[in-house]
Amino acid sequence: MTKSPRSDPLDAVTRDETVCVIPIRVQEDILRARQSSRGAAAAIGFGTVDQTRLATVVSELARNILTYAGTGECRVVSRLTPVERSIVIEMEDSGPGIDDIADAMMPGYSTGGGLGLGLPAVHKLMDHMSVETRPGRTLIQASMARRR
Amino acid sequence: MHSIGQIILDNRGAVLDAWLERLPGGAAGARPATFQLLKIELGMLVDKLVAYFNAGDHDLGGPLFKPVEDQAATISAACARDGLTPLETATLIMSLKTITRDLLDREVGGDRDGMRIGVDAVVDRLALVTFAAFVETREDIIQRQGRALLDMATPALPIWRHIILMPLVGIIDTQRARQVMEWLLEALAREEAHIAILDVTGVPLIDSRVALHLTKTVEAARLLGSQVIVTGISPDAAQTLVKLDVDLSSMITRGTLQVGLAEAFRLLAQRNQGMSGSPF
Amino acid sequence: MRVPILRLGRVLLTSLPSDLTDQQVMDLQIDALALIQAGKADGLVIDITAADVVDSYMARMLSETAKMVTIMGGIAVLAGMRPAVALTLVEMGQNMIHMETAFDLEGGVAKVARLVASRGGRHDEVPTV
Repeated sequence: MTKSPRSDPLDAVTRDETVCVIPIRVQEDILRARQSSRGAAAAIGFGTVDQTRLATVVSELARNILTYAGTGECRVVSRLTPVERSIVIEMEDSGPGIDDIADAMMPGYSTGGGLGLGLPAVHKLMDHMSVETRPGRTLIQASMARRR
Repeated sequence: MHSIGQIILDNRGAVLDAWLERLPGGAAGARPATFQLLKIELGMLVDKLVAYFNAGDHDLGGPLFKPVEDQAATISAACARDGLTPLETATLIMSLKTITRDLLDREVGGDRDGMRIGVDAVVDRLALVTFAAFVETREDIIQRQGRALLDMATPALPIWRHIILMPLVGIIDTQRARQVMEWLLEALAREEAHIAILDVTGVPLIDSRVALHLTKTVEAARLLGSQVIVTGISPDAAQTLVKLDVDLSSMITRGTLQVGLAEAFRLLAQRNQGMSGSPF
Repeated sequence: MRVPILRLGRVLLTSLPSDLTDQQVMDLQIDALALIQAGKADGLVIDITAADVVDSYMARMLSETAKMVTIMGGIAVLAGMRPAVALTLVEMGQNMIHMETAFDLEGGVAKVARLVASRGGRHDEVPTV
């Protein structure tokens, strides 16, 4: 797990950004990713309920990586600007990819023996979510922002 | 030969009286306290205008005009708080034009050296400042009321051991529904309550969306091991919900708070039965 | 390490740690079912006060365990869920947790007792007619 401020000369003045990277290889990594996202959210002032939403989302997505891709990486990007605080969860793997996004977003759909609520649940808990997938690379980004 | 500033200063009392006479009809009579305050504030505006005219540098964007603008904004904000309409407030400021015109006619026999144009420009500028200040104040009031409503309209009251009451008042939108759910669950945990009575008598409209939020709240409370009784659903709401085919089977509903309270005690007694019986 | 299950009279008690792994949940399910099958208990109370996250996998495992316990003639109660966890589960979807619930461990034990009584007694007892 590494923590580093992302250097971005353009908006270094207005924004304070921290990235936390957690490799996802074994089951214990799900817990680690969960704790990191909760910690990052708490650090920039998200409330208990939002922290729980984020940790749950990380748990869902990290488990998906273990189930479908084997290994991958979880990045928790936290930003603090004068107007808002935000967290972006990025989950990347080099697995086979998701066949049909539209189907995967329908409640009840699953090929891995789960309830199939993973992605729709993530969508409901977060403000915004995007999926980029092809065989060999899948990137899911989910974000949550609150006014300060 | 007097300057415009000197003319106004010499006739300060007359100008102020003329101005107060032009106060929006009901305002002066109905609210004497407001009238007194307004008299003082308009007097200060007159003094600052005089100071501006006498200073000689007639730049409407300059630092010398700033105190005049500020005073006009203060008056406008006070008018907004006292419930005057924007039209009444603007009319009050604009009437300064007629007053100075009458004054100039009387004192120097009409317009002299573009005095009137100068005064008119000042009043026009003040009208704009007034309007902006008025809108700003109103918005501020609305925002503060909104926040106060959100904070105060949903208290969770412990009314008996293990029973809390949460009366909902006002429109329930998605954001508020989330907030209500959060507060209710926190109150349940904090008060160690087994039963929550959610009284919706004060909610003007209960449609399928509100019903969905209520259902979710009931389910979340169930997960904590608590029960929710929804009271105060009006006949109108009941008709709507049934016609929309909303499933409320998971929810305990009662017509009035009184009946709901009786149900709460019944449920509590039922729970206590389990407590006294030994499982061993 | 397996999550320990305590036996208090006819009720099984277990408390889930916050860092519960998927494997531990699965083991717990097996252990609890074995104890109920052996006729050692009427019910199971799972305390999740420590759990700060219950995702859809955990929710499904818990609901399934409850269903299995019911099929075997017992009663399973989930106790002590945190408000934030309940809120998140409800937002994720309807009926994520399909089992009896209680406020705390004590309430859970009482609930098992009440449900056993309403059913007419312990499941290994012959009613005296």
